[in-house]
Amino acid sequence: MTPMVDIAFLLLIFYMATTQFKPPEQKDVTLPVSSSQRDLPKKNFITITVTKDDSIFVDLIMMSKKFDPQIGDSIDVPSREYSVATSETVGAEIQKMRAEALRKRIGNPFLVLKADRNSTFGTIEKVMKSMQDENLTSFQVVTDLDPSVSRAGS
Amino acid sequence: MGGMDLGAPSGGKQKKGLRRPKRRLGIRIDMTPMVDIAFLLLIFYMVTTIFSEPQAMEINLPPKPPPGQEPDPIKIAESKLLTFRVDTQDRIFWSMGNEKPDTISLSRVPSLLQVKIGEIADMVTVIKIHKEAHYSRMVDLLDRIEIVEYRVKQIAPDFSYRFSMAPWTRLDTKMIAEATGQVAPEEGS
Repeated sequence: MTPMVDIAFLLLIFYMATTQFKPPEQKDVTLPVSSSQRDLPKKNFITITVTKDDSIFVDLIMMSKKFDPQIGDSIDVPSREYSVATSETVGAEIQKMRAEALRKRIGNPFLVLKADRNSTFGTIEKVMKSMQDENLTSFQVVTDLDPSVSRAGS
Repeated sequence: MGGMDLGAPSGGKQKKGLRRPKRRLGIRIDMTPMVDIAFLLLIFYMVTTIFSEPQAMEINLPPKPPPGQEPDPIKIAESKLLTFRVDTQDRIFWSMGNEKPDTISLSRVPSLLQVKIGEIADMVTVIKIHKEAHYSRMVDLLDRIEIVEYRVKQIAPDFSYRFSMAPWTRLDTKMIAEATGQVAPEEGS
């Protein structure tokens, strides 16, 4: 019986390890902290990632309807588009992603800026300028919750 | 690896009396491998579970001015203007109008802003961050402003904090250098 249990658990681990809950992160980003408690959108968003060495990536995570002939019905398929940008081209890259999202009929995706806390402000400033030039004026900044700062306090 | 141990046949225990012989088989399963695996699973889930979900903070940029048309500069009385400056070493300086900038620690920013808003209700805050400062400073300051706005809204529900970001200029470098008593380093705006 023990070998059977071993094999069963081994299989279980295999499936758990290969199941992807979330698309993998390309880059390691240490987020800045804030007291903000708003949740991030869960799907259909464009992330602008800025790493601590100031490289910029733009990616689109979306759930699109795909027809599955086996089930005979449309199912939600997560997908990810990914591209490398510079601080000058980031606005244009975002527009490309938005066009892609619209082509797949997923409405207007949210914009999320995910920058490392140690990236230089100059880069972020240029990214914001580039977005402003493309009239992308509203976006979310990703932060970690800082438990030491309370809103209510004195 | 472990196996299944069958109890010894009960023959030896049989007594000569009228008692029926025990026909039950003593089964002992070695649980160690299963427990090992169970702990492995437990550790796997503990390591991969994310407890703190990242949070979001909304930022709205001013719209792009139409081509060939500069936006009208908004005139603000000097007495109503509070400027935050963050220099290359991530230090925060604050000043009212054209006063000499003074350093302040981040933890004291909310109380400062609250006092100032108590004095000047329609105060405008400008944030100027040096290009070489860290991005976290921007988030820190915006967050403190959001905190103050939240707190003031508890008292005055229709309050909205007026603030803006402005580019760092050569003049700011000079002002900070004067305030800290250092010679301004030679550099571009």
